[in-house]
Amino acid sequence: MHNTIWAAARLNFKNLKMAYLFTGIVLACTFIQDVVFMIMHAISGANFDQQSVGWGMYFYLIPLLAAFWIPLRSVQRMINLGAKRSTIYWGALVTYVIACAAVSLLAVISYCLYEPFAVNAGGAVGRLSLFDAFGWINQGPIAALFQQFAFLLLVTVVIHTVVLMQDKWYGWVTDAVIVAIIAVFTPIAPLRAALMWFLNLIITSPTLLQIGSCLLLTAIIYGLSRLVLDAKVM
Amino acid sequence: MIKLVGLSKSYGRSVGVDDITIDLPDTGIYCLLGRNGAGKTTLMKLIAGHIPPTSGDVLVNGRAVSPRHMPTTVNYVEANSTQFNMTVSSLVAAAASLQHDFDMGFALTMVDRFRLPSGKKYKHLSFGMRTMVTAIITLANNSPVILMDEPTLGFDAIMRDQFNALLLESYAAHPRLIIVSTHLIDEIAKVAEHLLIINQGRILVHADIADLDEQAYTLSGMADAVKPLLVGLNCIGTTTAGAVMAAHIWDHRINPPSAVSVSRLSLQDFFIALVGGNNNA
Repeated sequence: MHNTIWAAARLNFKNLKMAYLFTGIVLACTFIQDVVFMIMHAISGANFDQQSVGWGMYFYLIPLLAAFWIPLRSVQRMINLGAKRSTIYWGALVTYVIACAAVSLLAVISYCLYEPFAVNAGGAVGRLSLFDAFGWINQGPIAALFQQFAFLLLVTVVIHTVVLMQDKWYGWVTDAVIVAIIAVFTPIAPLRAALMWFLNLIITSPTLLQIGSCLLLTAIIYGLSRLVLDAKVM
Repeated sequence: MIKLVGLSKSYGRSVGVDDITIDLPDTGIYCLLGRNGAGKTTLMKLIAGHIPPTSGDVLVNGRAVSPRHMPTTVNYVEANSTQFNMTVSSLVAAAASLQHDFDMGFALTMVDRFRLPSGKKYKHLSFGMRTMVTAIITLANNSPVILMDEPTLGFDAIMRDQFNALLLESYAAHPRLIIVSTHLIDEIAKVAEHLLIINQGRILVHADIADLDEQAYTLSGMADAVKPLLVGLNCIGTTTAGAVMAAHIWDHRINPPSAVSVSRLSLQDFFIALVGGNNNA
């Protein structure tokens, strides 16, 4: 891979300070809450009927905020530094892949090591996690890692593409279509079934099918985003 | 190297560039002049492939340019563009890592020459310093074509003078095609070799500045003495005050009678006479 693409990815990571800060604050708040519950549980032995969001889910903020930040701010700034659009395009993809992979790994580690400890030591009922909610952990942590990675990458790329096209008419049309799908599909049973089929495909279908469908959609949508980037007036 | 063929760019009903056909050489410093909204920035962005043309072509080394096929040989940066809020040295390093042919030594020399605080973050710099950082990043690129849009925006007189010197230094080190758009006409004329004047999206003038020095002049005197001399000459503007008249000429030199004086027409006056609108004669 060309050095300029890595440089663009590095620059993206360097300039995600707000995402790191926000994620760090949320994690710190959760940790403080955990410590308070642990101390109270240790002192009184009381159990608490509370179920907080697991640490791993907070890490999602980094790629998701990056998907807003890069098209809104970094693209123009990199052009101003003399970067070519192809460099920016591939650099952003590398950023998302690395961010989603790292976050998925952290989320799995957190789920397997920290969450059980926090639940036991804090006397909590449990911790909310997509691994449980979507059943990804049923196939083991390795499969869960890849399932989460593929899903997160798809969501990130969708956000990137939608944000990138907001200064064009078709961006607004896309927004309207997304809202219409949610508003129209949900009340009508056959359409709702189609929507559920799609969501099941990208979330809860068998591991390889879920990963494959997410990565295929990611490739298609990110491919389309190149057309949007090329049409963008800088 | 650069060939514009029937190049047009419209934004809805508004025309940015209107049917420009022109060849630009491999080397030389060009001054691109035009009023606000004349199409300077649009023309530069088209050449750099930042925006697609509505019709016509930009050919760089024979290859058509578009946002999908941005020429690696052309480097364009707007002077008042925003940068990442990083230190000056980090920004220069970032530019070096993102570009294929960046002269880091030259960039650092320029940072030092302009006394830019290399450890200071971009947002903490003055407006002029920010512009200078962008100018340095642009000039340090060794691309065969450099496009600079308002590079001296926010500069004080000393910085402008230094910038002109460094522009020449950069050109001497790497002879190439440099196009500079600016409103500070006479200052850029000190370093530019060629002139492009664009008005309402069309190229009005494509000439050597040395030739203009010879061909652009003012005839001043009593209107009765000046007017007969204008027959057959390309008079681009006149000014009258009572019975006295000044006629701005862009044509071959003549030897007027002693009652009429000839003076040099500055580039700024030439530009104003050409695109400034109405004569007051």
